[in-house]
Amino acid sequence: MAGIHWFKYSAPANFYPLAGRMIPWFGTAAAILTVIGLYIGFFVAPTDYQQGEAYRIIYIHVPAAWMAMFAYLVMAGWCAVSLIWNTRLAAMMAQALAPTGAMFAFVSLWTGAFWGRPTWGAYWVWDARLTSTLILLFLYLGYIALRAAIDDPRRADRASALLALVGAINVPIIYFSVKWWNTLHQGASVSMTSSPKMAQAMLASMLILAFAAWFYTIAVSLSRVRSIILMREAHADWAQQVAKESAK
Amino acid sequence: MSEWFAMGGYGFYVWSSYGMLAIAIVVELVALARSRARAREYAIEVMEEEQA
Repeated sequence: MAGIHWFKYSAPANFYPLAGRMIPWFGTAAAILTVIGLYIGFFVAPTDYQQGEAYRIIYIHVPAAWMAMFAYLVMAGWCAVSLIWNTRLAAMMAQALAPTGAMFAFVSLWTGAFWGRPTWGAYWVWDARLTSTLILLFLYLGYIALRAAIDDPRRADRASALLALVGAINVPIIYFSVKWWNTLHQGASVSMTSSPKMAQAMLASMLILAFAAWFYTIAVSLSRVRSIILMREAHADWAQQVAKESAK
Repeated sequence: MSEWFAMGGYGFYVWSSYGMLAIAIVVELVALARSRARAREYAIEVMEEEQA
């Protein structure tokens, strides 16, 4: 362990090429897992005896919702690191995660609406879980808007980090909402198990696509953080050299 | 094949869900490529200003 200089990579100039080398691996893994997960979800898992084919929305709805919550926690974690140790890279990582987190929050709401209509009879209800997930989307958008509104990046880091940390309280609220309140949204144990074999294929597809969402998020946020680093280090010689060489 | 796309009558809901995810990913990847190009251009701009 002593041979690896972890702190070396907390410098944007050193992290930039490292991130560039990691992106193809995570991106490829995400693509392969997506194909496998969708294949199992659509061609191996049988029709649900209660919901018919409509239940197949679960394969993207649940991974998207998990990812939206998890990305927020990671983002808030980077924000805490950036506030405590005043590290620039941590703030940039948080900034890079926000758009993808917002995307997954939106997709979980959208797919939830199109699943809710055939099963509950409504695209939207002001249910505890739906409402707290909508708040999650607004927290992401608020974080992005606050960053954009402050010109000085270091001040933007601190102000947006505070917002992200205060908003983190919403994540356990989403997670436990189905326990704490009497909601329309089903609980964590999806009991569509007429036979154990069916549950297995369903669960496998869902988990594989959840990992795909992870790898996608890692690849995309690493790519985004590279752009952010280049923007914010544009006055440094190394960044100008990198920009010049990659523009050829 | 068309029976498969019909999703037992739930095709509209299933494909609206998957379609939006596909659109969201494409939009994100395009935005990513554009912000990358913008960041490069900006760094080169700064360099040229400094040299001038």
